[in-house]
Amino acid sequence: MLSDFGIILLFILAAIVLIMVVLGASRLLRPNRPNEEKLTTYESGEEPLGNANVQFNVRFYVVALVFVLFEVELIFLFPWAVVFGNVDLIEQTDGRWGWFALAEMLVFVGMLTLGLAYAWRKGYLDWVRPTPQVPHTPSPVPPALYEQLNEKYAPKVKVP
Amino acid sequence: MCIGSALFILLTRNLMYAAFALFVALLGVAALYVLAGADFLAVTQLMIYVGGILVLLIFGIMLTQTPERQEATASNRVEVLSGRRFWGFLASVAVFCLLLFTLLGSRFRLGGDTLTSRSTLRTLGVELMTSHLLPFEIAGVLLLVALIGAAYLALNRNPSA
Amino acid sequence: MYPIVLLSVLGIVVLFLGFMKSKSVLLPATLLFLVLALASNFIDWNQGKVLYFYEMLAVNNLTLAFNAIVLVSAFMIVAMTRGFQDQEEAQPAEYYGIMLFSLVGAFMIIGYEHLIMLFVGIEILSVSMYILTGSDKSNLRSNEAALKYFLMGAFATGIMLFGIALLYGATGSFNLTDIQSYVSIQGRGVSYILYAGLLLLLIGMLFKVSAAPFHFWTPDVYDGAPTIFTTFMSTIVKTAGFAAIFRLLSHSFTPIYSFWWITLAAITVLTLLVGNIIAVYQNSFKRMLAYSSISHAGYLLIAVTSLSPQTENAILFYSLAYSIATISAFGVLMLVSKKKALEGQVDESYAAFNGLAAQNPLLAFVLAVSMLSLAGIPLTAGFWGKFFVFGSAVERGLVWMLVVAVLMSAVGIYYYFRAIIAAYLKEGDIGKIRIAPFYRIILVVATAMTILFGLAPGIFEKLL
Repeated sequence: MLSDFGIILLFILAAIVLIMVVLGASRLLRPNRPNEEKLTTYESGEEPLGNANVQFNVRFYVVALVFVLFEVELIFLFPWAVVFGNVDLIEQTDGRWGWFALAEMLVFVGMLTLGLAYAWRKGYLDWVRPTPQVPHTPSPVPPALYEQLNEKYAPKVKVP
Repeated sequence: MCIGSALFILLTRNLMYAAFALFVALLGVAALYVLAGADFLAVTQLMIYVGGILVLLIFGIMLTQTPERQEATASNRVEVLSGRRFWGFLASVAVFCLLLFTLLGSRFRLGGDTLTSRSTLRTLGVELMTSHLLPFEIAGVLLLVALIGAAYLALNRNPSA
Repeated sequence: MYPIVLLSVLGIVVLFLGFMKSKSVLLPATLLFLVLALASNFIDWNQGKVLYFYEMLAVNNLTLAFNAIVLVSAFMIVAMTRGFQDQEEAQPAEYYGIMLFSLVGAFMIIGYEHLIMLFVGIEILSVSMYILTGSDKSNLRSNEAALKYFLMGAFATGIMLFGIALLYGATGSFNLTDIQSYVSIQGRGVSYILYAGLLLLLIGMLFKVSAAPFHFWTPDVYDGAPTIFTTFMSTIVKTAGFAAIFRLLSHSFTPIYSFWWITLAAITVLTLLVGNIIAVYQNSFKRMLAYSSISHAGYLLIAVTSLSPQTENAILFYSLAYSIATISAFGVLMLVSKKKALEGQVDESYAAFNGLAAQNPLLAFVLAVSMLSLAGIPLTAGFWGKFFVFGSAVERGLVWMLVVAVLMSAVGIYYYFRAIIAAYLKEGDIGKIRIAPFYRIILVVATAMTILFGLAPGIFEKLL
């Protein structure tokens, strides 16, 4: 008798074996003539630019942090979800069990939701936008003069 | 597999490879949990460590990586005074001996009922809702503190200002 | 148990109060909440031992008294945070909220009956402390301190958790009373797992109260953290931590006293030596207070090690005396260093106090009394604290330990008096320091309490 995890292990093994068989077979059958073009990283037809190890932005990090916290909360929800609707337990306690469990979980989730609301309101979740850099040319000529030039040499349009 | 990849983490010079080796190590630990009959713990390990913390770690590496210095040339060795190395070695050997002694000196037998292959999930749920109610709710407070603190410390500015 | 629930909720309320336009409502609200918690704390007074939440929490007069000490210290510290609001970057709502949450953790480790509660409580307390340590984000030293504290603290937590797991493996229970009955039934024949588990658990907890071989984080963290949170750490975390250690040892492990007292005695002596002797070489007042807090951990450990009927009172009185004196010392330091910072450079060395008495007699007096109390000079609370601690050691017959302790307090007098000498005898150019009225009241009350308990320690014993 296999346990559930035994089946999962079988799946993993099967996946590994299958891939090895398929790749091994193709390796035996295909001609092997690599060139520059074939060896580049596949990026949907685009030419790859630079290294994949680029520096990330902080904004990803904050989102990932919040994600981990809520994942922990999710883990707590699992056992609750299993027993929450349990008919036996509800009947044993005249239905009090369900309400009790629901209330407990609401308190737990509510506390974290408040935290999330707090972080949201504070703006921690805002996507950090890069401030657009306005090109600035240090020119001794004041912009008003340019305007005058434009006025002067602009093609005269006849206003009907 | 677990120990091998852990050794690899220790020896490799590339942080990225170390992170991926950690992935294998954590998977190995999850498998160990399954073999020990702790299925909920194994799922937790998979979800939180492999799914969450490792992602965070890789983000962290990519965040701090500078494009210029691709390959670290310095060795992983940390320079310490030889005297401190001696004391540290002594302490670690002492702790190892203590734990080994404990391990050998103890009798492992299962007290109470025999091991069943039933899932621990249901028991855990009932326990969490009844007798371990307070730690459960307080864990909520702990997560809340961590959430606020993480958000506060991770961003280097005051967003509302 | 009421304060736990109350403060969890009120902490969230404080967080959301921070969204209001005027920040001035925050401080009074937080203080009000602390008073509410203090009042609710005494609902259970004189009920005997009560267990809450399926035997998760125990409440008796001792835990309530510890709760009260923690709350009073927190009240004083929060009251001294006036002036935070002036800063542009500061976000007082978060500081206050996190402080209230950390108090929840402190209450849990004071009154835990179940080892999981101990673990969760210590985690809440530590996570809050990591955040508060690093809260001065523009300051590199603060960041360094937070990182150091976090790494070391996480490691210690791991060790502690391993110890708890081993204890569970040996006794089959997380419950303190169950462990106690297991230990007393088995007597000397308990398995090695129990010994190893107890040892690892103790190491984890001693780390949190910065006892000697595990103290390396303390000076850097205390020095790097903003002064107000250093005060918080050195009073509240220490009081709660000692309450937890005492509870563990006195409640569950009295039958194997002969096993753990030697270990603990060695740690105690080492703590006393390290704390006092290194403190002599410090030039920074703040760093000196960090080492002084290590040495006070040593004195408290004497009381725990000797575990006599007097110990309860001794620990309680000592933590109270130590907390009050530390708060007023840090309070004066904060005022002086803030003044110096306004004049240009941050100065937290002894020299900052030079000539304090000439212009600011009140501050100099407060500083002097707190230093005397920390040094354990008669007529202050600190003297009676040390007296009770030594008394309990005598009762157990640990005379050699007492000799070390007395010698070390003599060493202690030297570095505490350096501050007093700087304030009264040295020349300096400190102008008049403006003190907010509230701040003044807190300092005066703290000093008055130190002297009152010094003159009549009996008052306190009648209260209990």
